Amino acid sequence: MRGMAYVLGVAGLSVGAPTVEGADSAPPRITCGQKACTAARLPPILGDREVLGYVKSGLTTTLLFTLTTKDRAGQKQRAHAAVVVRFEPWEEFFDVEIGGRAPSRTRVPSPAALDGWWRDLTLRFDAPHAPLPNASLDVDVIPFSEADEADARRWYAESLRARDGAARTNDNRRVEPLGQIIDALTLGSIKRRGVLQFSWSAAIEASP
Amino acid sequence: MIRGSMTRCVLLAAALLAGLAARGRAEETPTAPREAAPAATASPAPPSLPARRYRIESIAVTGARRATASRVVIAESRVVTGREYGEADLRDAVRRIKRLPFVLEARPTLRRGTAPGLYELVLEIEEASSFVGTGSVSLASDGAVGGEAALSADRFVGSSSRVSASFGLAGLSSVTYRALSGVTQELTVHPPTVKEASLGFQQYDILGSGSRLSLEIGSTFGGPTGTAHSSVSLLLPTARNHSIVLKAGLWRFKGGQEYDATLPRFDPAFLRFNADSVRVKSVTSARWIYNTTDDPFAPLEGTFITGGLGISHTLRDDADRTYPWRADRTTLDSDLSVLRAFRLGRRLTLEAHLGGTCASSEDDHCRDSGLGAALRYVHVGRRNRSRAFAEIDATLGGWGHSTLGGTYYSGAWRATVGLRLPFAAVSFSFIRRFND
Repeated sequence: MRGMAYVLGVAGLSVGAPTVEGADSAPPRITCGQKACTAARLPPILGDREVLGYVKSGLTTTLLFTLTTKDRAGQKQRAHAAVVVRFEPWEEFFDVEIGGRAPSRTRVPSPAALDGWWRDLTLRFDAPHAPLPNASLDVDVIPFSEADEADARRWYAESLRARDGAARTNDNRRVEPLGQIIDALTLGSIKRRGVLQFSWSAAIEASP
Repeated sequence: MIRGSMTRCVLLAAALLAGLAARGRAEETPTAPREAAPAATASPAPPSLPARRYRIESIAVTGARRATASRVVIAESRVVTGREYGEADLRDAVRRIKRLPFVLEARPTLRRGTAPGLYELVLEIEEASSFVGTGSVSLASDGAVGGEAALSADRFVGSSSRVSASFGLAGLSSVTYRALSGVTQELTVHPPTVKEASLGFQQYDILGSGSRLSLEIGSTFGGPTGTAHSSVSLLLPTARNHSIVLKAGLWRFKGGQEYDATLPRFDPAFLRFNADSVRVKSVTSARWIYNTTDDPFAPLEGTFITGGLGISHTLRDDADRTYPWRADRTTLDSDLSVLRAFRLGRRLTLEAHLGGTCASSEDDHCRDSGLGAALRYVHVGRRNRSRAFAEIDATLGGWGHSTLGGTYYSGAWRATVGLRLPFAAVSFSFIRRFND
């Protein structure tokens, strides 16, 4: 029995982990204002061979960003933003849809332009309560997004709706219990397809 | 003679076939783009690129060490060139490929075809080793130890055929004395004596894309009893994730408990073991399989449903002639098994499972029923080259009302850890049974 445990232990140590800490790249720039935060200067994960394989697969890939902060009461706040990317092999452009409070759709004209677009990308997150100085940003790479994307969209929209409700009651700092549940479900259900994850920690800058 | 549970078996079969037909119809109309689920009416629109369908002109496989493996992968994808497929279709195709015994990982990419609007589907796969060792050990709370180990190898021959061979130990050890409360425990561990060997042959794509003809012969030897079997089966895909398996097999068992039929009343004390007693039976079965699971070793998501009907006919039974009664020579068996894995997180899944078998020869008709759930943590290495899991499973095996009054139930808790590498798969379980 001890031998089996040893075999499992040694083999377990050799297992490669698909989670990638972004410590070796510069952290993103996170700026927070009254009710929102933005993330810019995102680390170049599209340079990762495996991520690029998914993004250039010709099939839909969702990059789900989760910004985690703490408010002054020490309560965790999580907010999401999603970037949906699909490469068209014939025209060699990327159709991109960026979710959030102001969703936008754009077309990156070529693979060569992808790096520049990523460098200039700014994501907006809801933050109903002023966060403390540090934040963490996670991104999950989620392939195959047709049927699953429907789920992700539904939960994501529910999350946004809950945040609308919370924003309406921000004065008395009440967070609706239903909103919290939906938020937890959002996180769990959207993340369920992630095959790669990158994480960074960064200091929050105050917005001008 | 087939007794009353025939009706139950037929009803089960009818229900299975009705379900199969309904699912088949639902999946045979994939040409229209699937409607996305309606998003909630929140004012900020969530991201949603419109669903697309792709006309697949050709299929290529990269990463395969063996050319035949590429052909088998293409056949198992069930993707027909010239047709249009959505992303969900391609995801299911990839999962089918990943469930092949020689494939660890498959990843799809679309490339340009020969004309605009046409695409080449490139499937990049990671092959498992040709030689794979497997082993499992289980330890029960009452001290019982079980286990098996095997070494198997496979080789592709011809255009789309595969032969495989396996040799293993069927019983690593066993406990002959079961400890009672307050009694000193005495364990006798047997050395591994029962060995089993099998030889298999699979001809892929024999009747169109995704079909498979399998032949298998196998035998156990070295123990007090021996079993030899041979079977032929044909797998026919009926829809995207549905298959029908038709199987015919012949089983020969050597060694059995005999009795003296001239004794006036049955007394188990007069049973004696005859190593030369032979029983031969034929089994013919039809099975329906619905499978969308993402991995055969430790799935994180997907559904697996299978149900089957089988007719078993005893051709020879030396022991049966020694009893004062005659057992049924022909029995109708049915079984149904449902498994659904709900992904709770990136590495965590909750699996619910339900299963049961019914036989017309059993007094209570149905046995081995089980309803349970497992919480499983799965760590997937890069390109699925390694897959480790830890799970806790609770299964309720039987329940009902006792003739003495009250209800009874039985079941088991099981904690399992397992690891699969390209060349090996091992698992260890600890089992605690209750009310067994």
